[in-house]
Amino acid sequence: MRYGMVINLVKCVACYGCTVRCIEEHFLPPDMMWNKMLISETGVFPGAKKHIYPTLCNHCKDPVCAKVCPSGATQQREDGVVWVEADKCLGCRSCLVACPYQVRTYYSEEKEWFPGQGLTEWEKMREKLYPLRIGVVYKCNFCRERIDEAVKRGLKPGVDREATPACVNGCPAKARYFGDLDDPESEVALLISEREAVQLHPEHGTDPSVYYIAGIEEAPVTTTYYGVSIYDTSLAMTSKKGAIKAGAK
Amino acid sequence: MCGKGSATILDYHDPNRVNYPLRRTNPKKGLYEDPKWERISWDEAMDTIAEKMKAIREKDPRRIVWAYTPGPGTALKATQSIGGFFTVYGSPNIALGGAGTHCGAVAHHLGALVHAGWDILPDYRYNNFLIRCGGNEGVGGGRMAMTAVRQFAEARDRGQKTVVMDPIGYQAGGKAQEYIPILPCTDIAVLLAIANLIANEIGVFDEKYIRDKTNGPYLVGPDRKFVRDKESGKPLLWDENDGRVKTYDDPTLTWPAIAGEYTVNGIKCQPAFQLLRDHIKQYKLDWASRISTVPEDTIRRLAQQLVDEAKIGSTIEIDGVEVPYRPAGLCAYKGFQGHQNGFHQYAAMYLINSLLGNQDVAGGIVGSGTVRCLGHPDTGRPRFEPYASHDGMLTPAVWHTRTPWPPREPKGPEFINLLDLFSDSSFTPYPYAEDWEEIWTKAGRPYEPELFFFYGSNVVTNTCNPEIVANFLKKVPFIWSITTIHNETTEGFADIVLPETHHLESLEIWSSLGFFFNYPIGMDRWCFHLRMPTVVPKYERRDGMDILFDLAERIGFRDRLNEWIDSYLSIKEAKWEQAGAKDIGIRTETKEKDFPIVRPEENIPFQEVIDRTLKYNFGEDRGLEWFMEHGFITWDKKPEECYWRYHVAARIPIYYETHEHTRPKLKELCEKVGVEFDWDQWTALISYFPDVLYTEEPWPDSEYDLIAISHRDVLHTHRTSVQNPWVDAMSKTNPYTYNWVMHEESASRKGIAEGDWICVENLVGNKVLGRVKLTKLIHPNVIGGVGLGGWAKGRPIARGKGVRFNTLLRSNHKRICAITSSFESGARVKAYKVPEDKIDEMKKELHMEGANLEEVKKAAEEAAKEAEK
Repeated sequence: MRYGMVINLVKCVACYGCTVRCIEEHFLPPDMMWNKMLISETGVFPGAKKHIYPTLCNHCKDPVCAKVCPSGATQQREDGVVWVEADKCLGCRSCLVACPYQVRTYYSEEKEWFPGQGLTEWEKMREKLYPLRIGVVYKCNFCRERIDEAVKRGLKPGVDREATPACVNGCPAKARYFGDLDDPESEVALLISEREAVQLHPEHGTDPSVYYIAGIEEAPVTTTYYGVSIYDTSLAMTSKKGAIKAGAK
Repeated sequence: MCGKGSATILDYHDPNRVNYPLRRTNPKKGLYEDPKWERISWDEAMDTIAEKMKAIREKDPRRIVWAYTPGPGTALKATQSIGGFFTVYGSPNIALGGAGTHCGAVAHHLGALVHAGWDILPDYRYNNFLIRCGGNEGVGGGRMAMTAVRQFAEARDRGQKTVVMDPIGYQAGGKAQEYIPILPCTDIAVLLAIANLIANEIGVFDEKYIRDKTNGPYLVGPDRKFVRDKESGKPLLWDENDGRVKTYDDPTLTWPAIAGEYTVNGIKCQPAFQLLRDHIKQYKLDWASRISTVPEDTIRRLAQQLVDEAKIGSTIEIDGVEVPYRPAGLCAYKGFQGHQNGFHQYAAMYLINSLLGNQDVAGGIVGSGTVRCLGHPDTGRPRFEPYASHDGMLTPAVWHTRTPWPPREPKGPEFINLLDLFSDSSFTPYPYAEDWEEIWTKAGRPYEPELFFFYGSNVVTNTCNPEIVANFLKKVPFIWSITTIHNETTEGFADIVLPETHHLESLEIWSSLGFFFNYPIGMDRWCFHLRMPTVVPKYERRDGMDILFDLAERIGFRDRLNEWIDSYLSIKEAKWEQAGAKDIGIRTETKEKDFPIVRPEENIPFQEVIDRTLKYNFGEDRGLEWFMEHGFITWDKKPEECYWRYHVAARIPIYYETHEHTRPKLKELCEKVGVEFDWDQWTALISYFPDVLYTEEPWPDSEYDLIAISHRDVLHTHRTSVQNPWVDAMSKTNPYTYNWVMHEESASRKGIAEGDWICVENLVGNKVLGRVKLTKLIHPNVIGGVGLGGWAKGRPIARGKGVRFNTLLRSNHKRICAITSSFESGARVKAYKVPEDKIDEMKKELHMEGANLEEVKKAAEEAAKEAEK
């Protein structure tokens, strides 16, 4: 049993649905995002390409963050979920430095989502439902509360909504999949093998549990660019002289 | 849901929300003014408004100008509720709200004529090849935005190919297999060249479609008008089967000619398609390439790909029904049509789709929203379908502004928004235009605006240059608004502001039977949902519909409002004309007089109206209680509902003959008020016209060597979203959202580096300051920005964020489409770096400073004290 996620980049449109659903689910404060969107560009005009990578904790099979944790706060469960036990965290931030994917955040002070206007009722609910403690490092926990609660009721993570991480449920493009990587019949395992899904930066050797189906292949550069200075603009650009009049035969 | 949608929970919690009725105590109005709000009672507020509106209604209801936003910032689907309220009240003077002056004036007009739909969408489920121009539908923009995202994602994943031809390539282009940079509003040249290639060179097009479903076979005389039957006045066609002329509706008509030349009643005439086919021969590849900067071989390849992928002549069996299969086409929207040459540009795109025969058939381009529905199997309701009217042409069953067909004659102007004059327009930028005052004076000032109402919209920042909007608003003696949160317009100009419930606090049906935003695309099952409250409204916030009912009772037209609501929600007659507003159109007599939902004399709350509407449509046992438990109802869609084209006996225009009739009359009326259009645009033949952006200033040999355009970012809608702290946090992580975006090559030529503060300045010196993000995914002659930014004190999160694009837009008759009044949404600009030491000074000059934390804290303390009272 090892929970994992597949993100299909062909389908993702970078709508930030995952990012916001995660904030909502865990009552996250400002400056802390467990789901992030990385945006970049490569290539040369006009064959250039925009890349979008929704990222989260990779719940690595070999989590370097857990190895460097001096207090044992960062732990890996049998189902592969890597989580932080807040009571044990010393706030030393070794994990923050060690994580090759930079998905951890140190919670240094309480901030308001509406600065200077107090905590909203929603933010006050954090204390009851998802308390965060100053001086602790936080990150995505694969919505383990959802998984645990639902599994108790006989539901299957990745199949039953209630047992599935919020970011997967909320994705409007249905680009995210969740399930047991060790089960060869699971949707995630099948997608990884059929679609040749890849891990981010496997060279770090941590064996991430989050896989990506690569985006649309870059098209061959078929368009040539007329430089700014060499436009022949005699028709469109200057008055109507030379422009073909409507109805002219 | 997208991030923006999920984030609306924080809009509900926003401590800046309007909680009580407020009155302005600062008599001075204008941009950047502090309103100095004072809390008043609901009774006082409603009495004041009702008294004024009652007096105006007795004098001339047209003295009221109204605006709304059909956006996420409003709980109600304002298009129906606000549009119905004011048209019944008697004012046709709608001014644009949050959707902006370039909101679909072309797209909706042609959408009605060609698809009987508000907009168009690709039939993603079956489409294999799509060319998308100027729009971000399917990647976060447009109608049924997230349904489109899901469907388009599925399509991409199965290998569907999309080519994006757009000035900007980092939105839709970022998800396409191919991105083709193009100069703004030159698509028309490429599209006409493609049409020419398909019709005249490749020679493969859907002849059956042109023959049976368009006005291509209608005979046209030397005067460019249809040759008509002497008795009935109906257009004539030549039946090749028996060599005779017949009216379009002659039951013996089998094979109307689309080519050749004929003599009818002594008049030499040709089928419209023959005329059009010859006319577009002038649009050659090299010419189109020079204008658009798209290479010749690319244009040729696209034409061939469209023809190859469209599989003309093929059919597909879906759920046992055989329908035409055309899995290729072109789809465009806002940025593409928001131009001074918008009509012909959009019509050129439709012409290609008509040549491919892909309209409202499997895999092609389908009309969005409420086009044809045969109803739930248990009740046969809701039921609506398009039909043929004047000249046998397609007419929508349901519409949301003035219905574009049958055509009407230009009149007046006696409408403040000039809609009576611009008879083919659904929206005009008037009265927010620099020449409105002059036109109105030349028209003899039929009456003066006395009241302005706006619902949820922020007209000052969301339409064009704020000074232009302010100049109009300053003239109006009384202004009031219903809103959830303040904005630049309430603070600068409103006399009274009423607090509305957030959508999480309200029950409403307009977004379900509200027709055009929510119906499933293509063969997705029908779904009828109900928006339900999750919390009880706090403070003194009231539901917008209850406010309108209260007001209608106080003014004394609740009976007529009930009639309209009954008609609309039962879909007996679901058009504005039904409201019978003076001169807005012909008032249609209600077909049934039994009032199945609400009788004129009934004084019931809107909740009861919702219950009855649900029962009327889905049966006695499926009222409000049932929906509260189940949330929504779905049922299978029939292929003939989705792919209705060959199931509805109506034709569509490829030849716009009414233009030839309208031109002389319109010209005469316009001359009287000093409006001079490019009258050549009023031609029946789809033709090339250069946009004003390239004619108002030499191009490209000018220091104004860039064209500024704004685009829809996935994170933002109508600026309402900038005040949301989560959306703000996301925006800060997206380099394309809050910054000017320009091509790195153009930037380097101007000495501009990544992250510099730059000033973008239009031809009359309006300036917009912003940081710059350099990219390769934009045309080198284009600079892009998401229209955001603002200075309202009541929106501390939004304040000073993003690029205030609309400041660059000057509205006047020279900058609107001659036919549809679509507003030119681009601007000729120059861009230059602002030295580090001048930035603060310039920010101050342009009112761009962010919120002051101390001020915000102080205001929060005062608000807390007020709440304790």
